Amino acid sequence: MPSPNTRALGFLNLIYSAEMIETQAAKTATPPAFAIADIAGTVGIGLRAPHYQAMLAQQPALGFLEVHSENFFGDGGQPLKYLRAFRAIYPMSLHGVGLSIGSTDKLNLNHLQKLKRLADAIEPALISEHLCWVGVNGRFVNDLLPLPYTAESLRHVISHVTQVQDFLGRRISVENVSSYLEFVDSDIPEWAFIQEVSDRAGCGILLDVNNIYVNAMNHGFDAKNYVDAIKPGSVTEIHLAGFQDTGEILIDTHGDRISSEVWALYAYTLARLGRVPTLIEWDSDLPALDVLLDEAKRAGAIMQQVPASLHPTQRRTHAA
Amino acid sequence: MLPDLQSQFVASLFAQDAAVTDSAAVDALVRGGKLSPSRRLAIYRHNVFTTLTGALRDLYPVTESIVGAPFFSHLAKQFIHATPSPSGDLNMFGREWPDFLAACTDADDLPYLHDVAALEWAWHMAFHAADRPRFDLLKLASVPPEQHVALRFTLHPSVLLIASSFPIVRIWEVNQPDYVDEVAINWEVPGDFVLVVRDDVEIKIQSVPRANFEFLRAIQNDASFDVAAEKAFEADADFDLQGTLLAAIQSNVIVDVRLDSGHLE
Ligand SMILES: [Fe+2]
Repeated sequence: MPSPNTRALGFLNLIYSAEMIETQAAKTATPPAFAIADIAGTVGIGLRAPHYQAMLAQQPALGFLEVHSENFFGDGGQPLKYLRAFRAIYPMSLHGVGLSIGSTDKLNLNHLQKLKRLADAIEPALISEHLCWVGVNGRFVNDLLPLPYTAESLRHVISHVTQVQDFLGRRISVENVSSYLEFVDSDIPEWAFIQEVSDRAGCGILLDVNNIYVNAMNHGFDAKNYVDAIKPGSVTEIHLAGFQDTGEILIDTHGDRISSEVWALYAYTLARLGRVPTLIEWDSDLPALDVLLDEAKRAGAIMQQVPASLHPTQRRTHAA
Repeated sequence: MLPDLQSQFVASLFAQDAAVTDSAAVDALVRGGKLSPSRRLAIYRHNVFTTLTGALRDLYPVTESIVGAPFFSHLAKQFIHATPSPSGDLNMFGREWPDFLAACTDADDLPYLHDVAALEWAWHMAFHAADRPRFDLLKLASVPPEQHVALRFTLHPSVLLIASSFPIVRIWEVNQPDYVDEVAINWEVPGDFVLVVRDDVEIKIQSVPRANFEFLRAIQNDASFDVAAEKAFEADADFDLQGTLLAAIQSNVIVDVRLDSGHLE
């Protein structure tokens, strides 16, 4: 048998033919960056993979789309390909579930770097994280755990939010979470806590109206008092979603239509805060796209009833 | 203060003997009211285990199809206790599942299970792997033929090579949800040499001849072309070098080439 070397020699001439030379696809540039102002007064939906095809086919009139940042932390492939395709059509909001700004662990640099890479590639109109902790001592629970609302937690969260904004070179927003317990240590009302974080870290508030309602029911406070305590200029986005009532507690499942009580609280919130960009979130038992679009339409109708002059001012600058 | 509270809370979430821990430590941390502190903790424990089990189900549907949902849940619970999730990014969770199955005595009667799981993890890796432009044949035009033996090819970042003593590609195939043909598996085959690669967004899983596998594995280990060819010919004296290389380039398995003197322009 001829030696491998001899066999390797000269074969390339055979495969080197013009028809195999493909022109490299031109790199698609990111469309112009959107600012928060560009999505003011609009309604969007959470973009989930099962809806990709229907979304691309219909291209419904929506103000913006929101995705979970971590699902696009990979180096390439289908997720980023679709995200770029949607970003060419809609402003995008990056909503993180895993940065764990409330944890006493140091911020995960690797996680932050991936978020920055994604933000720089996508140029989102908004970046948000949850006001919660997701793990400690390097062990993650991948669930949104509430904080004790104390001065210590406050200092801690403000420091982390500041670090995140400095690292990204962008302002972020923090979202209030649903909770099923309160810590004995808590001595600051949740609404005062989140407003204080926003005031002192210079971040926006992503106000989840469903989460306010769920917590009001679970912990026994008046949801309207919560809304009344939030400064209009702080809120960059509103979330609406469905909860599940187990009989003993309300669970934030993102798996149902928005309840009538939450719609009412939404109308109350907009009347106070103005036409804040609003997002319909749905994660479990995902229905057909039309159901989400129907909820978005309903939110849009409520928003239309709010005087346009009540637009929130969104000019607070990144504190860094 | 806050560090203690968080450590204690997470320890309680993952406590093996939930009943004992709940009554003791959690009462001091959590307010009661309408529901007891233990009941409230149990809601979070349920959510955490549901999320992490769901992540494993999404990653390892073939494993679940083989063992059935109840046994999968049983294994998942053991795994979650033994393997902390390393990141707030759930996509990073579950990497150790194949190793866990290999060591798990409960799955002893399914000796192929961990190799099938390794194939599923490879699929997950390929799904998120970096994009690369296709092979640019112009790069080869400048190489004098006598230097071809010294070329070093680069595989697409999604490429994973798995050798198994079991027909894992066939097992994988018959456990796909849309598979409708007969489910007979020929257990007499000597084993599988598997190539996983993503071409654009399509992930391909295929059994390849041993010589092709050795050829690609050598390239993956950065062997020069002549060494890689030698490995292949050791496995099969009739190895089709030219056809294999051509097919590897056409199917996006090989995406780049360089000489040790530097990248080819
Ligand atoms: Fe939300």
